[in-house]
Amino acid sequence: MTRVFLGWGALMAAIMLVGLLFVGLDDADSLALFGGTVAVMAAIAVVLALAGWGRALHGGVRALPDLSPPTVLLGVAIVLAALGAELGLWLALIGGGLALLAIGGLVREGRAQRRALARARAGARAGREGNSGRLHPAEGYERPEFGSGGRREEAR
Amino acid sequence: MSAAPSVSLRRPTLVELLSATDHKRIGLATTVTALGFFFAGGVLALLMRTELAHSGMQFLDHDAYNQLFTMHGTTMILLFAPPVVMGVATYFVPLQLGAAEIVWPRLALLGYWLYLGGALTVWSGFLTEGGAARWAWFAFLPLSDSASSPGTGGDLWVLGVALSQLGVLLLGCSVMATIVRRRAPGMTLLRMPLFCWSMVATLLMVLVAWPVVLATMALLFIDRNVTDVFTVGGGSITYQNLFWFFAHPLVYVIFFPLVGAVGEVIATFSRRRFFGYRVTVLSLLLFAALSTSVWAHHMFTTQGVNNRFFSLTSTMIAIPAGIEYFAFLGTMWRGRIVLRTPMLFALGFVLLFLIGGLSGVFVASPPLDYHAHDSYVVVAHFHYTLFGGTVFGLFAAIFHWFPKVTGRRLSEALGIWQCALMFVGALLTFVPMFVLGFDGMPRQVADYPAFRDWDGLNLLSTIGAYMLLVAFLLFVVNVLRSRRIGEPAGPDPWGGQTLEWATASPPPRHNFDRLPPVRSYAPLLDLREERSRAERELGEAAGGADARRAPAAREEPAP
Ligand code: HEM
Ligand SMILES: [Cu+2]
Repeated sequence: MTRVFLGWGALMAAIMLVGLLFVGLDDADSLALFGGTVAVMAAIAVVLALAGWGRALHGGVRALPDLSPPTVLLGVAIVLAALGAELGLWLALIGGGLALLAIGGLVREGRAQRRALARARAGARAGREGNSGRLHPAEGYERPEFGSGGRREEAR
Repeated sequence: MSAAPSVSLRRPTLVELLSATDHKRIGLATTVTALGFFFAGGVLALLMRTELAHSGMQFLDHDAYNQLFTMHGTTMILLFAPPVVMGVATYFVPLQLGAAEIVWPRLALLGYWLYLGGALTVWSGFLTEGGAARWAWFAFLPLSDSASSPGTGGDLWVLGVALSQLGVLLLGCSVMATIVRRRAPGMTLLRMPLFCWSMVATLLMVLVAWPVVLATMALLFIDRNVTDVFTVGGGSITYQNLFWFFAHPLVYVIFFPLVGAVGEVIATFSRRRFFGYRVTVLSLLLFAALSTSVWAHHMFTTQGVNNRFFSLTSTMIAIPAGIEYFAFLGTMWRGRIVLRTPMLFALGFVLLFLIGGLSGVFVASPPLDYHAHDSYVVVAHFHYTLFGGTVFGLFAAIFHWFPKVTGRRLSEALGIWQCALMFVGALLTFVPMFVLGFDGMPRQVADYPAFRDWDGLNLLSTIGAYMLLVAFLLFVVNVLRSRRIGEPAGPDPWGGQTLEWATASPPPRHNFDRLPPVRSYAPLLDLREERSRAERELGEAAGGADARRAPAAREEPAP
C-alpha cells in the first residue's frame, strides 16, 4: 500500500505543478492546500515504509477485544468537554474528569489484553490447536487460523 | 481447526450493545444512526416543500425557513451521507478482505460516539432560545461571524460539525488501516473487491480533507467567540478555500463508495466479472486526485481564485467519470442480467447520476455558473447527484447486503414498489426545480411572488417530495416485515462474487471459520467456474457409464 499513498501524492503534486507552471495558479491558499496534501501523503508513505507496515500481516495470534466501555466513556467525555467551550467551564471540567477516568480504563484494558495475548501465545507454542477460542470477554480472542489460501480442500 | 463459539443466543445487554468493538456492530450502529438522520433531514425538507407548495407564507416565517434549509443541508450532507458510507465500509471492508476484525476497533468505536454526540449537538441548536444555525450548510463569512449570527445555536453547529466529522475521520482511519494491514492471504491489492478500492480512493480524500474541516471549524469557533481570525484581510476567501477544500471532496466521499458498491451489484446481477477492473481502479484514484483539485469551482463568482485552473480540473473530471460509466455498461453488456431489487436501484443510480453529472458539466463552466449561481438550477443539480446518485446507490447496497447482515431477505415486491416510487418521486421533485431555476427562481427563499406563475411547478415538486417519504416508509415496513417473517437468506442468496458471501449470514464474531483461496477479485465466481468445469470434465470422463453419480451428466439422456 505504500506505493498507493506515494503514487497518489505524486499525482496531486503533478496537478499542482501543471497549475503552477502553465495556468498561473499562484495564490497562497491554493498552494498551501496542495502542498499540505502532498506532504501528508509523503509522510504516510515514509512511516509505512520505515515501520514496515506497508504490507498485510498474516498469521500470528492477535487479541480481539469484545467490549470497551472506557472507549464509550471517552467519547462522551470529549463531547462534553467540547460543549463546555460553549456552555461553561464547569462542563469542560466534568468532561475532562470523565476523560481521565476513561483513559485509566483504557490502560487497564490494554494491560489485560497484553496478558491474555501472552497466555495465548504460550498456549500456541505448547502445541495446542490454532484457535483456543474465547479468552476473557474483556481480553479478546485469538485470531482464528485461516487456510493458506491455495489448497484445494479449502475450496468449499 | 475449531472456531470460537461466538454467536450467543441471549440478547445483548445495554453495555454490550453500546460498547461492542466488533466492527459489524460498530458499522451497523453507524449505518442505522445515519439513516435516522436521513429521515430527520427528510422531514425538514418536507416542511420546506410544504411551505413552498404555494406562493405566499403559509405556516413558516422567513427565519424558520432559513433554519430549515441550513439544518436540512447540514444533516443530509454532513450527518447522514459521510457517516452512512463509513458505517457500510466498517461493516463490509473487513469481510470483503477476509479479515477477522478491523484494525483499531476502539478508535472506530470512539468515532461512532463522537459522530453521534456531534450530530446531536448540531440538532440541539433547535432547542436554544435563538434557534438553530441559519447560515446555509457552508456557513460562509461574514454571515457566520458573531456580529451577523450571534447565538448559541450557531456555536453548537460549529462544535457539532467538528465533533461529528472527527468521528467520521476516526472511522475512516480504522478502515484504511484495515485495508493496509489485514488483507487475507492471497488478497493482493489488485484482487481487492471494487468496493474496497473505492474506499481507498475515498479515504485518501478523507485523510487530507477532514483535518482541514476540523481546523476550519476550530478557527470559526475562535473567530466567533474569542478574536477575529477570518475577518482580517482576505479572510473570508480563505474561509471559503478551506471550507470547499473539504466540501468538494465531501461530495465524492459520498459518491465513490457507492460507485464501488453499485459496480459489485452490477457484476453480481449481470452474472459476470466486473469489466475493466484495473482501468476502473486507476480511474478511481485519478478521480480522487482531481476531486481534491477542483474545490474553488464553488468560488468562481468571488473573483478571488484562479478560475482557469479550477474550471480545467473540473472539466477533466469527466474523463474518469466516463471510464467508470463505460465499465458499468461494459459489465452489463452480454451479461445475463437478473433484475432483482439491488440491480433495479443500481440502474436508477446509473440513470439519475447521468443527469446530475451532465448538469454538473454545465455548472462547471464559469459563464454558465454566473447565470445559475444561487438559483434553483444549482439545487436541482446537486440533488440529482446527491439524491439520485447517493440515495439510489445506497439502497442498491442496502438491498444487496441486507441478507448478509440480518440473515433474512427483504421482500422483493415491496422493494420494487419502493424503487419505482423513489424514481418517479425523484424526477417529480427535482425536474421542476431545473425549470424554475432557469426561469430565475432564487434558492434559499421561503416564498415567491404569485405573478411569476411558479405555483404549479412548485406544487408538483412538493408532491414528489411526499412520494419520496412514502417510498422511505415502505422501506421501513420492509425491514420490520423481514425481521418477523423474512425468508432465511443462507450464506449467499445472490450468487455473490466476493468473500463476504463465503461466510454465514450474519457472520460470526471473527467473520470466517475458513477462507476460500483468493486468486482474483471475484474469488467466489472463480470457485463456481472451477466447480462447473470440474463437473463437466467428470461428466466427460465418466462417459455416461456412471451417469447417476456425475451431477453434470444428470441432464444427458441415459444410454
Ligand atoms: C428527501 C428528499 C429531498 C428533498 C425534498 C429536498 C429538498 C430540498 C429543498 C427544498 C432545499 C432548499 C432549497 C433552497 O431553499 O435553497 C434543499 C436544500 C439542500 N438539500 Fe435537499 N432535499 C432532499 C434530499 C437531500 C439529500 C439526500 C441531500 C444530500 C445528501 C440534500 C442536500 C441538500 C443541500 C446540501 C441543500 C442546500 C442547503 C443550503 O442551502 O444550505 N437534500 N433540499
Ligand atoms: Cu464541487
